[in-house]
Amino acid sequence: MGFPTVYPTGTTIYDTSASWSGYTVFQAKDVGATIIDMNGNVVRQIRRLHGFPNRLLPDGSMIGSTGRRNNRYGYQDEKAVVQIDWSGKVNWRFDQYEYIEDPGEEPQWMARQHHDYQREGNPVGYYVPGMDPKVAGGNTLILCHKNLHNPKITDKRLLDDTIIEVDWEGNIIWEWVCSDHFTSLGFDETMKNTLYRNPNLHAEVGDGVADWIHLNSMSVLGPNNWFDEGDERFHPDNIIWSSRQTNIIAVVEKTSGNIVWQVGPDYHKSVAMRKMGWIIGPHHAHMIPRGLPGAGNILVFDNGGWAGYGTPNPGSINGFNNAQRDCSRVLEINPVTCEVVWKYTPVEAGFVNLADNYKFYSGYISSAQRLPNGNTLITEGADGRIFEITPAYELVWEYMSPFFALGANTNYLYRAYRYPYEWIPQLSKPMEQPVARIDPKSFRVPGGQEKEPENVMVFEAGDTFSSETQLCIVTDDEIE
Amino acid sequence: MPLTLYTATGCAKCNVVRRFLDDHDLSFTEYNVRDADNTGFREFYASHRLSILRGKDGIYFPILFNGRKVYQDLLPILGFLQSGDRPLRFFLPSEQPKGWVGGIHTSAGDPTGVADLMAVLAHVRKSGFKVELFTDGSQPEVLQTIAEKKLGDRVIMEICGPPGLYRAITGKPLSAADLSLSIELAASFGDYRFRTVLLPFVRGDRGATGFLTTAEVAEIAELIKTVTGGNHHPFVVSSGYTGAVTGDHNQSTRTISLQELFAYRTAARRYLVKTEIEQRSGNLLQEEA
Repeated sequence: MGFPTVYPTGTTIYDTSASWSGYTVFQAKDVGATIIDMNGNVVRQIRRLHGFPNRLLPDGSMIGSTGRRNNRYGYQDEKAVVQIDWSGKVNWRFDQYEYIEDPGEEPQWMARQHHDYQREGNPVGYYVPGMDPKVAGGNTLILCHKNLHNPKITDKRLLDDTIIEVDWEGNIIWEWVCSDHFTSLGFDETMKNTLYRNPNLHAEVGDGVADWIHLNSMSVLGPNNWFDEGDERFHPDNIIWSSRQTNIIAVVEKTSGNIVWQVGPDYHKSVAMRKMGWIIGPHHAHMIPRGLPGAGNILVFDNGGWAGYGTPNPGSINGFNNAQRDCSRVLEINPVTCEVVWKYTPVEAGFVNLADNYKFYSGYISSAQRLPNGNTLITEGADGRIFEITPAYELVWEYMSPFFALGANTNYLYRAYRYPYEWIPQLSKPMEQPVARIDPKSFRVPGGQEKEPENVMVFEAGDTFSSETQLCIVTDDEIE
Repeated sequence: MPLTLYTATGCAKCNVVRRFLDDHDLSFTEYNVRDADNTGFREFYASHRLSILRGKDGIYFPILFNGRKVYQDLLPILGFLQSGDRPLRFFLPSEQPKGWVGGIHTSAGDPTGVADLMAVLAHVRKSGFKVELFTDGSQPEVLQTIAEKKLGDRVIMEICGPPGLYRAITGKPLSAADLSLSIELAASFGDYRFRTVLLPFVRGDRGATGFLTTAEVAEIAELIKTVTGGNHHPFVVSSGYTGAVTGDHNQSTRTISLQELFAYRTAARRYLVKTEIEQRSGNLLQEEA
C-alpha cells in the first residue's frame, strides 16, 4: 500500500494551543505500561506490567495485568488484573475467576481478563470531569473468557465472553454470559448456519476454541439524558459492548441481563442502519459520558477490515468474515435515531476519497476518546499511531509508537488514553514544546535528494496539468 | 402368577427385561404396542390408565403387569422380578440419556435388599447399560457394596449440609463418619459429582427458616477436600430445585438467586477450585437426564 519503511516515530505534530494536553498512557508492545508527555517523552514506564489495556488512576496508580496465559492453551487470557501504586505496590488484585491447569504450567487462578474493565466511579475508564474512578475501593467490571459448549451456536468448544463484577475484596457479585443471549442477538438463519460451521475457530489453541463473538470493549453507560428523559434502555448502570466478529454493538440491561439496544449484525435491517453503513469489526464502542462534548452519543472506532457471518460473496467464499472494507471510520452516533452526528473517515482525514481510503485504516484493535475540549484522541492501532483531532478535523497532535514487537515488524498499539497532568501528582508538569508539521514534499533523510533538480526542460506542445484526477474508480459521491 | 409384558419396537430396555425373564425361566405374555393389532395393549391401557406414567415423549416402556400391580420402566420391573413383592425402594423415576439407567437412590432403599439390588444392577450392566447412582450420604454400605462389585458407572452425591445439619434439612440424622465414607466412595468412581442444593429448612437451634450459609457450604467443600485429599473435585452449588429427594422440601418459599450464588461459589472455591453454580428448577432427579 505504499506505506514507507522509514518514517519518524515519537511525536510528529503538536499544536500546543489546540490540543488537550496531558499524559498519554498505553501498553508499549513487549515493554510494558508507558506514559508519555505531549512531546513523546516517556515520563514513566512500568516494564513487565502488562495491560489489556492499561489505565491511570487519579493518584498516579496504574491498572494492568500480570501477564498472559500460554497461548498454546488460552487465547488472549490475562492472568491477573492488578492495581499498583506509584511505588509499585499491588493494592488490588483479582485472579479468582477460573483455576487453570495447563500442561507444563504452574496451576494457578486466572482472571482470564481481556480487552476491558471498568472501575466504579467512572463509566468508561478515561478522564471525565467529576467522574473519577475509585482508587481505594469500589467494584470493578471485568470482561473475561470462559470455555463452554452451546449446541445452539456450534458443536465446537466456545471461547465465550463473560462480564463479571468484582468487589474490592475480590468476590464475584455479578456475572453475564454472552452465549446465554445468543437467540436475542438478531442472527438470521444464514448467519447462524455460517457461524455454526465456522465459529471463528482457533484450532491451534488447546483442543480448539471458537472465539465466536469476540467482545472487545465493555463500559457502563453512566448518567445520560436519554434515561433522564424516560428511555429506560439507557439506564446509567447498563453496559455497552462491541463485538469484533459479529459487528454488533449492544447494551445489556444490568438488572435482567437482557439485550435492550443494539445495532448489527445486519446493517441492512433498517433505514437508519443502512444510512449509517456497515460497522465492521468495531472497537471501543462506548457512550460519551456526561460532562464531555457529545455526551450521550455512542463513539466507536469502526475498523473495517473483515468480520461477520452471512451470505458468501466474492470476498468470502463460505460466508465467514463476509463483511469487508479496507478503511476505518470513527463514528459518533445518536443511539435513539442511529443518526451519525459526527464522523472521521479517510475523507475528513484529507485523503483522496476511495483511492486513498486505506491511509486511515486499522483492521483490528484501536479506539477513540472524547476529550473535554471536544477534540477526539484516536488510536489507529495497527500501525501504532495515536492522534488528536479537533471537531473540525484539524490534526493537532500525532504520535507514532517507537515500540516494536519482539521478533515481528509491528508496533501495533491496542488502546491509548489521555489523562490530565494532575492525575500524576508525583511528577511536575512537563514542558510543552510545539512540534510543527514537516512538509513531506521537502523532507529528506540524509543521503536522499538534497537539492532541487537542475536538469529540467519544458515540452512546449504539452498541456499544463490541472488539479483534476481520474483514478479508475467511482466514488460514493459520484453514485449519489 | 401370570406376567404380561408390554413392549415397543426398538426398545432396548424391553429387550433387557425379556432376557431377564428368559434367564429366570419365567413365562410371560408379550404385547408389542407397535403391532398392527395392539388391542391387548389398548385394553390394558384403558383399564390401568391412572397407573401408567407418561413422559414428554409418551409412555415409558417396558411395562409389566402381574395381574395385581403395574410395574413400569426397567429398574422397577427388574426389582420386582428379583425381589418379588418385597419393595426394594431403591428406584425413583429418572430420565436418562440413551444407554444409561438412573434413579438408583442408594440412600433411600431397604438395605436388607442389597443382594437383590446387586443382582438387578449386574443384569443391567451385563446388558450393556451404564448405571448412574444417587446418594445423599446415608447408607454408605450400599454404595460401598456397589463400588466393590464395580456395578456403578457414575455417582451423583448430594451433600445436603454439614453433618450437624442433616437432621434439620432431611429429617433424619447422618453421622460425620457415614458422610465422610460416602464422600470417599463417591470420589472412587471414575465419574462422579458432588452437589449441594440450597433449600430453605428450619434450623433446630433458632426455629427460623433459612438457607445454608456461605460458611456452611464452604464447610462442605472443606470436608470433601479433607476426606479425599484433593481440591479438584467437581462440586456444584445449586438453587431452584423444588422437588423432594429425601424428606419434604416442598416448604420452599423462594429460591436462592443467581447473584446470591456467586458468594457461595467464592466461599467453596477456597477448598474446591472447580466449584460451579447452577440455577435449576423442577425435579432434580429427572433433570439428571
